[in-house]
Amino acid sequence: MDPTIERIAAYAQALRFESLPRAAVHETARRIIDALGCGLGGYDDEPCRIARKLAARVKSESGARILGTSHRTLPELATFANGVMIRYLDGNDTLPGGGGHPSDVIAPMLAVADANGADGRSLITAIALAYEIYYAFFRGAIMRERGMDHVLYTAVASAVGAGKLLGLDTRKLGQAVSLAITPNIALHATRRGDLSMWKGVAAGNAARNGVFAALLAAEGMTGPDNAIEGSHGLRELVGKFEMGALAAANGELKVTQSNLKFFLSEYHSQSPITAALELSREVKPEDIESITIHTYWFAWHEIGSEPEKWHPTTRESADHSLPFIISAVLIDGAFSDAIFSEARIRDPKVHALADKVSVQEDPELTRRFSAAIPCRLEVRTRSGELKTAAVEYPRGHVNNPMTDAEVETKFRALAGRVLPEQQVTSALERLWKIDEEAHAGVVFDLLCRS
Amino acid sequence: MDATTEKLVDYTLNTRYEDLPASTIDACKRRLLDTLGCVAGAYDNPVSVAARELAARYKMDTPATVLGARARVAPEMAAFANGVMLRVLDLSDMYRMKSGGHPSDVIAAALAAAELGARDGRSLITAITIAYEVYCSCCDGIDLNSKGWDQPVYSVVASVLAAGKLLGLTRSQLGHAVALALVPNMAMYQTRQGELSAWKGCAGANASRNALFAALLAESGFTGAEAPIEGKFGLWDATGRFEWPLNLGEAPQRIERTHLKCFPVCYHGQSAVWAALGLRDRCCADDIEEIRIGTYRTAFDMMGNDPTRWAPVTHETADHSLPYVVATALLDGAVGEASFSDAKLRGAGVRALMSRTKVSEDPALSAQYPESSPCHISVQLKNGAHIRNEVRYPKGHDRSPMTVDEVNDKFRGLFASYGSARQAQRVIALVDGLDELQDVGELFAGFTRRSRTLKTAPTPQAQREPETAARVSVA
Repeated sequence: MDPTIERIAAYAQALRFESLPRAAVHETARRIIDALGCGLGGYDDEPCRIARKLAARVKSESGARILGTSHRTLPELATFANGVMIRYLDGNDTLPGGGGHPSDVIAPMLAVADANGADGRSLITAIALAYEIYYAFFRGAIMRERGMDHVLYTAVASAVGAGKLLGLDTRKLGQAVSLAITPNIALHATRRGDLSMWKGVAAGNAARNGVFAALLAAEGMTGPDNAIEGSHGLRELVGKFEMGALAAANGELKVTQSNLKFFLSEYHSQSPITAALELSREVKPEDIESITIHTYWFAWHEIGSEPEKWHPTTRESADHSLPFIISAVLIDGAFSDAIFSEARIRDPKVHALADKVSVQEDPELTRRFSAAIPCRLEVRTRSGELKTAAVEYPRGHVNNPMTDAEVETKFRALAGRVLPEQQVTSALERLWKIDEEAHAGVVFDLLCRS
Repeated sequence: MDATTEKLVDYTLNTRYEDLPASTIDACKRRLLDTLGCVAGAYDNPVSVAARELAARYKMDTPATVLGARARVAPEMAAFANGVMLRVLDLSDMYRMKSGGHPSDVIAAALAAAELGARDGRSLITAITIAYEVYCSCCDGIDLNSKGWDQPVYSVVASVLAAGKLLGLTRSQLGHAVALALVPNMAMYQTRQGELSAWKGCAGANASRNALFAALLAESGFTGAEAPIEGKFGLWDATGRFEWPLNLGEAPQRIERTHLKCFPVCYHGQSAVWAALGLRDRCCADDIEEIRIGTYRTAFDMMGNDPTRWAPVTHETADHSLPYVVATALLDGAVGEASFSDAKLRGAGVRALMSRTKVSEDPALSAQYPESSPCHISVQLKNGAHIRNEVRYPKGHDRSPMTVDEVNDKFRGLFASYGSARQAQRVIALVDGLDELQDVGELFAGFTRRSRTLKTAPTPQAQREPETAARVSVA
């Protein structure tokens, strides 16, 4: 077996709740709350409804629940449906620079914990572990630079966390890693051109396959011996793969390092939205002559370069479009994910203003990314005035963290879309102390729609 | 949809049963029967048992079953368990041009979708032949394997097209289904390198599972990447641009050209086993000074170019080792499932003979491949004598096809550990009459393992007669 896989397996086997710093436990709980809020917020969106329906084909008394319901299904199908819900609004946490969304590992951990009656401490440990593996793989290779998708990190991290919850020994944990890597390389085509539903679904699918890899390993399935370092393994595929350091159990776990999103929008739009909100107080949309968004290369490339971004036709393209988002914010003087509704995507006023937007890469900002998430927004008025706003770290960034109260506010707004206020309040009380629960699956009781 | 995806989708939707030549329909039936034999023979294999248990964890109401069992399971899990069983013995059919693999892997998803959709036998035949055409034409078009990509990449596309057609997807849904199957399932060729694991025989089944899931995703209304093959960061960016040599308007026929196997070893070892068996009457293992095996490049790379092939510790490595299968054929006069037990792997006789074996690539044979699958074996005897045998087309190769009777015999041999001779005959009749079958469910019902046969406990692997496969055509 690969030395790298052996390292992962030994680390996973050894990690204990008792050695986790209190701050890491709290940060994990914050991310669980944030992710669950996103899941409930997207509850009524079409892909989420479809995913639930697909998962609900299967019934099982001993399975895992679908978020918002009391229906138990296969753990991998619950992973899929809940993963799609958590991700679909694009409001969950992120690692800029090609790291995707590490909280994609939360749905699989909840599913396996629910099906196996794990306690709150085991859930927290598995999620912290999965974040650690996710981050180490991201540091090991940026898949998108090879035309591949970041969801491989989700598949591998889900397999390791699920394996931990299933109590696999180091040998089987290693097999789970191998079985998660080998079949789950995904193409980056998902995130190019006019985006499809799959953009928000690919990670839920990868988590589904990660859980399946752990279940296979639990059954005794063996995977390729050298999935990372062997011939035609991951290292050869991506050119270079050196897994990042795994934090000491009492050290700075990576679960504390992901950035939460203050706005329910693509991460690279967070700083531009902040700047646009500032300028919207100074300029009326009808007075705008032109808008220039100065940003770093990655944001320009991801959400500000392709022609589709100026006139998006799907939700997935609109929420990955700087011209569209910034135009809508300047018109509304506020940000809400309602701008991605069917009706609003076709709003001619937004499209007209988007035509005045140009997005430019500023090499200086590129240099400061990804340590910072910088943006400089310039609006020129018809009378020739130039208004400027600049942002370095958007709210929710590790260097500008959301307070617990802000995490709660976001959760209340999202969960409140489908649950009564009283239920949201009492759920929050229990969720902050999830590590004290004897059954982690209580999460599904707390958030079940009546 | 990009142009290649459109072509695959239109080919799948436009091809009708009425368009299939009689020889193609017949070839499909032979391969389906061969595949069912592989399932029966592997039924008590531990990997098969584990796959069935994984599938049967949870029950559901939709009509999808694991072959041999009655319980209804999630259809994607039925595809997985059936896919594992049909492949795990490594006795299923094979195709190799620029890329290679085992096209009968596509049967797992086709069976599950046909059962789910309560389709008739003709629909199943049509879907399987289309999937073979897609799979094999991709193998004709590009060498994906040397670029690091494994069989599931084309098998997931072939399988989703078959499943989607059987589920009655619209043209647009089928286009999305291709994207939903291809984009997340780029499997690495690492699976077939170095010491081999159980995954070697399950990677195809995993593709069947995800192909069926993709078809269900598309049926439910999910949309996938708009240009999965030709678009930015699509398949072509990963593999290099290539034409998928599938021609609209041409009936699928490639299924007639896949090679059936007589021995449960990697296809590239079939000729070697035949050559070794042919030498056995002319020498005794104790008298052998040295064995020299000459073969084509691919066979050399897969089965004779790695130290693990001289000291295999897993079944999977042993059945991909030329020294091992040749030594076994010379020692035992047969190569069957029982040749790969742990005790056999550790056998002193086979180890001694392997240590006197050399494998080399013969450029003249490489030039003949893949038109033929040639191998020669020269044995130097201790008394100074020298004997030699060469096989170009092993029995079952499309240039040396197995007859209907031989396929039936192979099936009966494999079925013996699973059910009665009467039931074997019943399954043969069901497959022969597949084109008249109203509901594929009848095929599943006919294959269901009778509880009566369980009274005589299945023979454990290690004790089973070693000639299961070999007797097929040695006779």
